[in-house]
Amino acid sequence: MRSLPPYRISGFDEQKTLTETGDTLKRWRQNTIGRRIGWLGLGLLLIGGLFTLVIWSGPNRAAPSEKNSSRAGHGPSEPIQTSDRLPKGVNIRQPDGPPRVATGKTNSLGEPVTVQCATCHATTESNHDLQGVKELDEFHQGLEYQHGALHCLSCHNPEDYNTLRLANGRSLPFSKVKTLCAQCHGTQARDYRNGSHGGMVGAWDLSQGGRYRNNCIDCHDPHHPEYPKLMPVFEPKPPRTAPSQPANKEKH
Amino acid sequence: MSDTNSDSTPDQGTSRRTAMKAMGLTLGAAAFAKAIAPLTQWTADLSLDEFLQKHYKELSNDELANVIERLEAETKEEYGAEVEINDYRPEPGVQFGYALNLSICIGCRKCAEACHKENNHDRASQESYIRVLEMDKGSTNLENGNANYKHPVPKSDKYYMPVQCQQCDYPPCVDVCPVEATWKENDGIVVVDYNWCIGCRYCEAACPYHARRFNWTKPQVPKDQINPNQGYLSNRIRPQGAMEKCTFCLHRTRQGQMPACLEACPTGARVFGNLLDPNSTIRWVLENKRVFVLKEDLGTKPRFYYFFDE
Repeated sequence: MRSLPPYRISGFDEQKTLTETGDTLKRWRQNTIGRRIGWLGLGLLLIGGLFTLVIWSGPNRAAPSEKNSSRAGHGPSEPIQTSDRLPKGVNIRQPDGPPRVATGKTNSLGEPVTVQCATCHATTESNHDLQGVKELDEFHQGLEYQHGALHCLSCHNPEDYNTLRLANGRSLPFSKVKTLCAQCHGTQARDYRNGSHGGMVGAWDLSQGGRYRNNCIDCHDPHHPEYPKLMPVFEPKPPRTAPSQPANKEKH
Repeated sequence: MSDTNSDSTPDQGTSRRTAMKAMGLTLGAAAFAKAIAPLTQWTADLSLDEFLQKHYKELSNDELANVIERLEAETKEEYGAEVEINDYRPEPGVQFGYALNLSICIGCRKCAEACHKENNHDRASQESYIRVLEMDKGSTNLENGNANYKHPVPKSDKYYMPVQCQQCDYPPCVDVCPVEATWKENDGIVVVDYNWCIGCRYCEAACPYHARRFNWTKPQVPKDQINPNQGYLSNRIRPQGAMEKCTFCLHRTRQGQMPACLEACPTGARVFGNLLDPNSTIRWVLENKRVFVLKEDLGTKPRFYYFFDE
């Protein structure tokens, strides 16, 4: 599966370990301080507390709406860290340029050797009758291909393999691959343009921040575009339940 | 006559008047003891300041600042984490709406995971405000939804429906709260004052979408996993015994940012925005897609819309 782009998903790293909850419960049980303070102390505390509450709550109960507006200035002291913010406007991820194809060989450092399309195709004659990858004797072996009844040259440009080709014959740089997809997938392209297809991060309010959006091929491999099946993450656990009542609880 | 009466009183021992006084005193003392009995349940977790804290809407600027300072210090003390809690207010001219494309959702549950991390949920129980239901195609019967699926998704005969707080315009959870600890804000988000909540869980029972969660225990979050950007009404660490719920990540969305669940969605099934902005994506969805809401017949008027692609 194509790895998803390294977007910031949230402000902190993956969780490491989980801690147990048992000790909180023990603290809840053991730390009752009612025992330590005498009844008199509690009584005074209650009376004092009630008195304070009455004094404090009196004048403030009026005009909550006015309170709201007066508090508008209290709001967030500062916007969240600018490092969290993306550049202004909507930025759509784009391929840098023509893809590089793995040769299946590695260099002396063990890194895979990749070549540009034109490295071979500049001198190789195009085979317009080719029906699919399976007919090839060499190179592009093992390329998984399942994309309707399209052929290689439905999208690749036999005049210049470093570009794509639209249905009307015009060449198109790889960076504008969305235009190519949109020729057939009009409804998806429309939904994408209107923000209801394709992952994104950033701001809903573009006056307050930028937005990054995925490109078609970030999620859909052009050669087998069906979104891959994957194992769901974050398996639900049974919800927290009531802790058993403290044994020393007073009987009423 | 009066003389003989007064002479005879000392011989009768305790007079009726004294007995009544003693009984009254005893009853009064007993009643007082009973009245303050709940204080024996007072724990070290509850400070005096917290006990005396006023309702969020009644706090003045200074009082709120003090409360926030105290909460930050408590987080530092109890969790060891430096956090910044802010009181994010609704922005004027904004009404939040959320839509979810059921044709695109693949049920990967990454939204639930992102919610868990963003909102400082209890780690051990993997609490999250989002529950993803695996549904039979051709049915919207929530009774048959399964949240505990464990196989590669999406399955061909199923679709996936994440359910979270619908931020209803007529929220039954708000109606039932006996202490007004939960209310609907001006931008449409239903919030909880976690310190005012008495934990009666009426709201949990009243919610038709099973969207509220209760802190039976104090949430446990390791120090290095705590999200330090916190909102007073949203993702600050909740006290034990308080209800909590999805707030559309108001600490993010009131700053113009997308909710965490939307950013985590790999397929773009989620659409969020301002219902009052005619050029917003949420408005485009409402005007161009066939949207529906859950349990419309209840009249809760949800702000959370579902739709299918044509």
